[in-house]
Amino acid sequence: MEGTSDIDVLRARAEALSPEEQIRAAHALLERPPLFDLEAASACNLRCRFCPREHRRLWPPLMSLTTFAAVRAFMPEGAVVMFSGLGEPLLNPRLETYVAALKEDGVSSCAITNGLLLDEDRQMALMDAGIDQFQISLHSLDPPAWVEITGGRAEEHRRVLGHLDRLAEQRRPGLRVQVNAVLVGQVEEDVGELERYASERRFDLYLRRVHSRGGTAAGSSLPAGTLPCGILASVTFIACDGVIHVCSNDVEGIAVAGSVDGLSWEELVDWKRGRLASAGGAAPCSSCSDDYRWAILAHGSVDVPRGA
Amino acid sequence: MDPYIDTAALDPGSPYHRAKLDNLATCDRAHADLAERVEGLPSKIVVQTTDRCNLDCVMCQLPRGSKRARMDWELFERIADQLLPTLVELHPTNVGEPLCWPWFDRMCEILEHYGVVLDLTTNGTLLRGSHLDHVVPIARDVKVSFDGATAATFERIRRGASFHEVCANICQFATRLTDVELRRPILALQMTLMRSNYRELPALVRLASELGATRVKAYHLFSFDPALDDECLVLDLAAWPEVLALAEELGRELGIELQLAEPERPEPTCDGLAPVACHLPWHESWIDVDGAVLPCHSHGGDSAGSLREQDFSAIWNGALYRRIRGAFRAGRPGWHCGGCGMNLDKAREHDPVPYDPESFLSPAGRTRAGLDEPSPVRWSARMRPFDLTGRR
Repeated sequence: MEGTSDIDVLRARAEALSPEEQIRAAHALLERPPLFDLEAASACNLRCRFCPREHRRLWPPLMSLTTFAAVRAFMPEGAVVMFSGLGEPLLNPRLETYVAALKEDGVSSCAITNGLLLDEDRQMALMDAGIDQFQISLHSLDPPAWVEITGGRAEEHRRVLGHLDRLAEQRRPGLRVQVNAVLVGQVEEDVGELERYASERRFDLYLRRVHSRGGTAAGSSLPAGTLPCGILASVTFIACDGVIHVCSNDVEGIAVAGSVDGLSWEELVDWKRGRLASAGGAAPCSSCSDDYRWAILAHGSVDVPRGA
Repeated sequence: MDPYIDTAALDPGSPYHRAKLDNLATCDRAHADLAERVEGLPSKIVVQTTDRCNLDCVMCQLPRGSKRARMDWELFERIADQLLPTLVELHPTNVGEPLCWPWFDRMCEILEHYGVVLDLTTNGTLLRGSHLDHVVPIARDVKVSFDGATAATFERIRRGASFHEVCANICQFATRLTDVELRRPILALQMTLMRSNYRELPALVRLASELGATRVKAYHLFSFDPALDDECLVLDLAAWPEVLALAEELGRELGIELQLAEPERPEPTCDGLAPVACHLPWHESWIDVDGAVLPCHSHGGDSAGSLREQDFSAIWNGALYRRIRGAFRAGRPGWHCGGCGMNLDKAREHDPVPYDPESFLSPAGRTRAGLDEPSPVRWSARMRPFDLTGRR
């Protein structure tokens, strides 16, 4: 698939590093401005076929005001936030409040959404709150393919496309918009269409290969890894209930650092250091085939070249 | 599977629809496996929003002067955050009058936002005006307490209510419900059967039809006051089958669905009643005005935890809930579940069942009637009101 070469090169580069160099690279990532993956909602309004939600243990469906206040107090200076996790963040009616609060703290935020709820009113409300980026997981422009990937209905696909057209029209200066696609069998023409579609609307396009989601999702032929994880070093995942997991793919809750109301940022960094030394050795990391664990490690930043 | 959770009433266009179905399926699997831990949340909750009431019915378990407690809005918001996105149905207070809670309309707006349907038990006196605008869009099952088919009986029992005003409110509400196409909301008149009113049941079925209601429910009085024990019909149910038959005939004729107290079996056996594992510990929960989480309406004062101190998910899979579910798994229902009628099922509505008359009487009445020994099956537990034991 077009666009995979950059990632393959980075992965090969990471794998060529000696174990000591890999650990050093991971520790260097820990020193960079931390990226937070905040789960505003663990509930979702679609059922994407590559999502490991069905294996998930019980978490509250929404991040409450109290938990968010604790998250805010926990975050170090220089943090950047993406509202993602395994749920649809726009299901949380307080998302705008959270974005505005982060803006007050000087924290840039992004929402990764399937676009179903990103209607004109919600776009305006989030832009008013100070959101810096929307990432819309579109996956395909072909209705049957979208239905097959997301478990949604064709009319919902039309709704998402309508919301994206409106966003292209009313987008404010400085707001970044990116269309995401997980590659799960779309044909090359589909990807070409996505590129044209994004380009016409001045959206970025981000293609991602499907991976094993910590061993819980089927459909990935990528091999799992045993190296320190660049994602763990760069990204801190905080679930709806304020619990910090090794990443959002820890659906069974087996790799937990603690909770935002009982842990300091420094203690978390220490935990990450320990975990990075053996990240390939224990579940769910030992079964993870996410390209980006190596790509981020080799590139030295989460801003790896775009295009799966 | 919880027979009281009707997913067909949900709006498939709600953004929370899939989350609710997924959650219910998870709980159904856990119930089928009798799992101690549940990775889903309850699909139905009863929230005691308020004890306050504008009436003073003769059989109320709360004396008029003690109807004061109410839930604060912040606590309800916590419940909303933690449960409503995956919740199918919410039943606000069945201790007080839900429309007396100052935030009732606001609660309805939040329920509508999250695509939750409403199970409402009300005295009907306030079911009018702007309340209708909030109730109609989410109504799934509305039960108006209605203890007599004549103004004299109704107003003697439901002290403070006007028969004609409540009838007018019901008529207006029924008209509004006919506009609801998505769900087919149930509007029921609900009678507490007493010696002094049960013969009016057939007339109540006719009245329900005239007012536009679709169902009549009638169950026996639970007496909380020795002075009321003589009103309990369960001490002599000989005349009940005749009234039941008349009501059933009229219900068939008028198209009114009936859910009525069953006739009594000649012998107190469980033959023909299918053993089942009560679904409540996997599907439903009760939350009291102070945030106490109770696994059943008949909780005996045992709280599983408080929402003021813990998240619901921690309580839901905490020690008490796991102990209750674990006992079902071991085949020996414990806690208050042993002998409970919820663990038995009838083949058909209104099949005869074994009665436990002692459960309907006040403690003094029980002793007076020589009924201190508990019956082997507490069928009454299927319709008991919310237990107030252990409240501070």
